[in-house]
Amino acid sequence: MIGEEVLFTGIREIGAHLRARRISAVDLAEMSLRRLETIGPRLGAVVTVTRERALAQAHRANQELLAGKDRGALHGIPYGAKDLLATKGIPTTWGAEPLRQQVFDLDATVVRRLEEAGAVLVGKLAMVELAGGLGYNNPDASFTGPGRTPWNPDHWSGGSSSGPGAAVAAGLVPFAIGSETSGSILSPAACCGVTGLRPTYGLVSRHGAMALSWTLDKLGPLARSADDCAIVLAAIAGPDPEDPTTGAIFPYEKPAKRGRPGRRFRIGVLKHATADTEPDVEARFREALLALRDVADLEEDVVLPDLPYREAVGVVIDAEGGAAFRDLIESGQVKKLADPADRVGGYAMLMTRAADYVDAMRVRAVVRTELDLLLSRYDAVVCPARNRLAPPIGRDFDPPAALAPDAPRPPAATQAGNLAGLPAIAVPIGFGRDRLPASLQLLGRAHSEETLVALAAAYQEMTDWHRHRPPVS
Amino acid sequence: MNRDRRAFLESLAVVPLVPGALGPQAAPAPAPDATSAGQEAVANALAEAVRRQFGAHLDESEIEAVKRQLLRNLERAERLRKAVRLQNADEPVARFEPVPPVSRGERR
Repeated sequence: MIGEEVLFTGIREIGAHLRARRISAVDLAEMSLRRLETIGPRLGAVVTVTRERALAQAHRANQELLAGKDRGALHGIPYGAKDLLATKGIPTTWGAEPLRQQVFDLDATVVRRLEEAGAVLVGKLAMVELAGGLGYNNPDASFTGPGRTPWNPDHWSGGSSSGPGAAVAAGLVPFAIGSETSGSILSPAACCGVTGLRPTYGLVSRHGAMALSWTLDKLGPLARSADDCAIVLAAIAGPDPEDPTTGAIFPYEKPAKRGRPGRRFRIGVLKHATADTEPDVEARFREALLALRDVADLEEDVVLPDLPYREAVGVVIDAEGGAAFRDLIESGQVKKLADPADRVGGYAMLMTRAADYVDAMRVRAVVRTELDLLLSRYDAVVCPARNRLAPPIGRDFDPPAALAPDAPRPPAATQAGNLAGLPAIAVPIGFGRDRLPASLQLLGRAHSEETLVALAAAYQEMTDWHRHRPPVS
Repeated sequence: MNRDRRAFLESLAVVPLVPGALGPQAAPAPAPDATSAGQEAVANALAEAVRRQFGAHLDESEIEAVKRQLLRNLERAERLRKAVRLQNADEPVARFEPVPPVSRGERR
């Protein structure tokens, strides 16, 4: 008898049970639906449980398996989609009160591809309203309430893919699809202790996904392990005529093997990676580096080029987000948003000067060149995914620490990577105070996902942090 | 609507659309001023633009919040400009493609 604990195992393990007929896709979907309905609301992780569609897909998956038709690793596997992915006939709210009734007449390309791969959509998952584009300043920034990490529900699940992070961590779904404009996959992966893979810009079609920033938005998986993320990425990546930025594919068939044939990995540890960092995060990060030395040569104090990453990302999001949500802002509908900062942020965004935006896009060309040069020397550079553990629910985020002008600052790897459209993977590395997870990110060159996954998988072969389960039932 | 918006912009002394059109009392356009006082003046002017366009949706405390955000945004843009000395030939990353990715017309 297989119980709900199966949802905490990996995609390959679940698939093996399905193919051996130890469990049916319908039973699996029912388990996932039940957990979404009972545990999901307590974590602020769910917007819509897609029971009808899920059971229809699960029945089809069963029938196909019985008839000998196997669509591959995702056949019969339940998943959740961040509620900015269009799903035909099912509300797609973008996490925003004014859009609670929004329904599209199409499936996003990612949703369609997952259906073709046999996956079963069990729920639309919660998110920070409008993916945080209007400048939220509090975990309570969605009409579904604050997202809560299953490890300690008094703390945030990260954002803006708050539901995907919490739902995977709590075993509501084996994997979920999130989106990242500037940290929205890595942050919830870190706060929830799961693995999150941000693909290279353009690797995954954004057709049918809410646009916050057309030049920064990326869709990617959150799952228990790097191997699971890669399985999902292989299914959703690839050219799509509906998204002109796409073209490349991500072939992935076998689990990554520890190390690389013929040579070790080469990792650059970013200089000041743990500056202004919580002691527990720093301790876990140092332990993770020790483990990585088993499979990689580490070079310390690698300097991230001194460029205005945070500034450029901010200008681009303000300009593009202001245009993307112009109707909501100009009509005053933003006044219905949950976070007070989101109710006014859009008005300042609309005043972004065109020359500032174009200059930011010119700086991006410099950033792209400089980062490519740096990353050509390594398989990845590494730093904590977040320098702080998950913040508490119920109060505004802490403002950035007032550091002395000459004090070292942590590298802006998340902003840099997003600005240059580069892939990164966040993996759990242990726990700190209040049983909150810590995480590191590996940042690589464009289209280096295979290497990042191999590296992260090698780390996860040596550690078991990704297998820990939070105390939810 | 467009005429209202244009008339409104013209009423702001920040960026005159037609030099000299503001009459004898209009002050000459100030030289670019990146000092905090200069940025604050621009933020105030932009906040006034927000008030005139969207004041129906915003109370006084929210206009103040917008003004503070505008000042932060202007300072951020200034830091961006100072951090990288762009040359005339430095192009933005966005590239216009003349052929649409999905054409609705037939090729002849």
